[in-house]
Amino acid sequence: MFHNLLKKIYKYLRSVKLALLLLITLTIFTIIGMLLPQRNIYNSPVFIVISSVFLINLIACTIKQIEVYTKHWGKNRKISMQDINRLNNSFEVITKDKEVINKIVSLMKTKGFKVNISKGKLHGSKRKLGHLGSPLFHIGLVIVVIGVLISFTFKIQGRVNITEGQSFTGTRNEYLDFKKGIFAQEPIDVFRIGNEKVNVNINKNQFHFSSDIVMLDKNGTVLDKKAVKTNVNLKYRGYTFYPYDFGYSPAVIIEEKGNLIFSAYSQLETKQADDKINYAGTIKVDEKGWVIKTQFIPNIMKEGNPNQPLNPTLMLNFKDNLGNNLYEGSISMGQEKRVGDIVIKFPEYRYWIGFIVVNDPGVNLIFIGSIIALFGVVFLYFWVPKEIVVYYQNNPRNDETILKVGGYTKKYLYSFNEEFTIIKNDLLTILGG
Amino acid sequence: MYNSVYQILAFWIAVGLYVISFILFSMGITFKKDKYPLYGTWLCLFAFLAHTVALIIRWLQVGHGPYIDFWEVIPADAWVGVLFYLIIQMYIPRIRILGVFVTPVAFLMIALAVLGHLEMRSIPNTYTTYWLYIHVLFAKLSYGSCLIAAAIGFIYLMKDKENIRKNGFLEKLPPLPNLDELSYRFAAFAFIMLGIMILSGSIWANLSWGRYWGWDPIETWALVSWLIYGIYLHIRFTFRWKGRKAAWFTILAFLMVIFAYFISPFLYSSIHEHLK
Repeated sequence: MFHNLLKKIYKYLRSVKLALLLLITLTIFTIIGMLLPQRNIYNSPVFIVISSVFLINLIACTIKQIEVYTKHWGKNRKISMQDINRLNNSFEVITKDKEVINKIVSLMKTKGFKVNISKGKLHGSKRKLGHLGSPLFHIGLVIVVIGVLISFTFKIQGRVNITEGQSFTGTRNEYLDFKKGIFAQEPIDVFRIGNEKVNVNINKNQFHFSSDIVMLDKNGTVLDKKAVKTNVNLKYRGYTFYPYDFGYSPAVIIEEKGNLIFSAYSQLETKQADDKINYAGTIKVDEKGWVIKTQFIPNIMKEGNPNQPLNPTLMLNFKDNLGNNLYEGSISMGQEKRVGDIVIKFPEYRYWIGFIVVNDPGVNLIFIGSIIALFGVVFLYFWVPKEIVVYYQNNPRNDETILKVGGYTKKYLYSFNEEFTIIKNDLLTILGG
Repeated sequence: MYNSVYQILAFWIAVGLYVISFILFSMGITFKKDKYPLYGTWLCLFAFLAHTVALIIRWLQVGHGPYIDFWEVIPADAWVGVLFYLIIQMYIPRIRILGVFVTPVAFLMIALAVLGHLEMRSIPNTYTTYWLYIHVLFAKLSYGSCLIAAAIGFIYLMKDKENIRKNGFLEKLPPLPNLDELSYRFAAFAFIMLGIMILSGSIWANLSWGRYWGWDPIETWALVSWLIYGIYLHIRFTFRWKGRKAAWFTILAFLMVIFAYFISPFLYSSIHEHLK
């Protein structure tokens, strides 16, 4: 009894009706997710449960498809003489033509059918590969789902900005933001990637940037080199580096009473609003509690492109640990400003390049699965199998042959009906009416 | 030569001719005369030529294909829909009356775009890949096929209406099962084209930003459109839905596509900003 119940549940789980129901439910939830974006439906338990049931249904349906396909692999559909009248198209004809079978075979071949001859029966079929459509589609979808699961659990992703002359080892705390799947290994000193040079091409407010990236060993020896830019990524040790942005890194040096307090290249954020581009950031001198709001102006002069770094200048808003203004004003490159005992220097600037760094072992499976699924749908809808069965019986008493002809297809019955009618008329013509 | 005046002129000529063509198709149905749809088709062809010239001028003017903003994308999509129609009616002349559905969609889409703006936008850095062309090509093919599936569904419903069935003119249309099957074929084609569009977009997103799916509003609505065509195909298979129900489904699915592609960009902020 328990076995029967399990069987019934499994049968329901692999039913097309359940698939349809889940498909509709998923669509409705996706629409709700779009109408109520603040609810984050796609991460809600309900959506995850529906997706999980859909996954079970998909796997069960796929197993069924594979079972059916392998069972009938290379075989023609079994159609008995009695079944012929139940097919989409059928007719009966009696002839005295002794060459009738050869003529039918030849006719079916000219119509693109492959013909199997057995005793008393001809079986013509074409586009048999079309049977592969449904299993391929389902297998493709299962591969996609497996890819998504791997991606969710093993993916490592983060953002990093590297200034010219600096390097990145892939350790978690070097990322600006970092996400890791639950089964992904903690990344520690994975590689050493250096930013050798950033090339920026500025045309009005349109930027094209590229960067020469070097792969280094632990001693700093260059192992390899690659120029990267948008859509030309770096793939290295399972990680892909997607250049997504660039910006300015002005060198800022602060001394107090002749002692060096701060010296670093600050990576200023590039923000574009309408036609204006703003390069700004905040420098924090933790040791003293100083906060310096910094803006980089590439060209302070009115002439020339404001984005071209012709007269680089820093606008500073320097506050001490109590929030008092120490200095507010500009400092041109190569100059220094003295504020009491404090000296601020701006000797040079460099560029930084921003990367989205991803290690996603599931992504290739997702794309391979999608392509297989698409091929499956193409087979399913545009390579539709067609079959024609002919049963023949000789009557030795009057030398007559009785032919029962039937045609069968699963899709596009109207077109098949037209094709079958043409074959029927051609056959009647060659049999002399 | 490639300035906006010629472009606008060519677009408005196309709109005018599509409108007249639509009137002729409507007259064909109203007065039950064969010659009006025939004239309508010829005018539709001339409108299509003006439409093509306008798109070429735009292309030469901006130096890239019709994929950057609404002004370019919408008329180009309409162009694919009309191209599909002209090809189909060449093979199945009895289906010529489909123009009554296709021409208003075409002139409304062009007029909407022409009344928009002429500003030329710069091409984002992420557009420097051949995936752009694949994505755009299949987007256009999918919307063209969605339009034709819905148009055939529409004339199916017209023919099927009991009081019109005796109308001598509509009787000249292909038989109902043939129309039903044609609509089904185009819906299946649309499903595949939408699938390739989503997949190529996903590969492109992964190439540019390291992510294949981000629940971006436009990609999610495209997924919804794809799922709806998937439901349609499943329903036909499971419940043997045919005829009127299937015809209504193709029209509703097309409205969904219109929403996903042409309306949703204005409702959400998205990485597909260029569609505004």
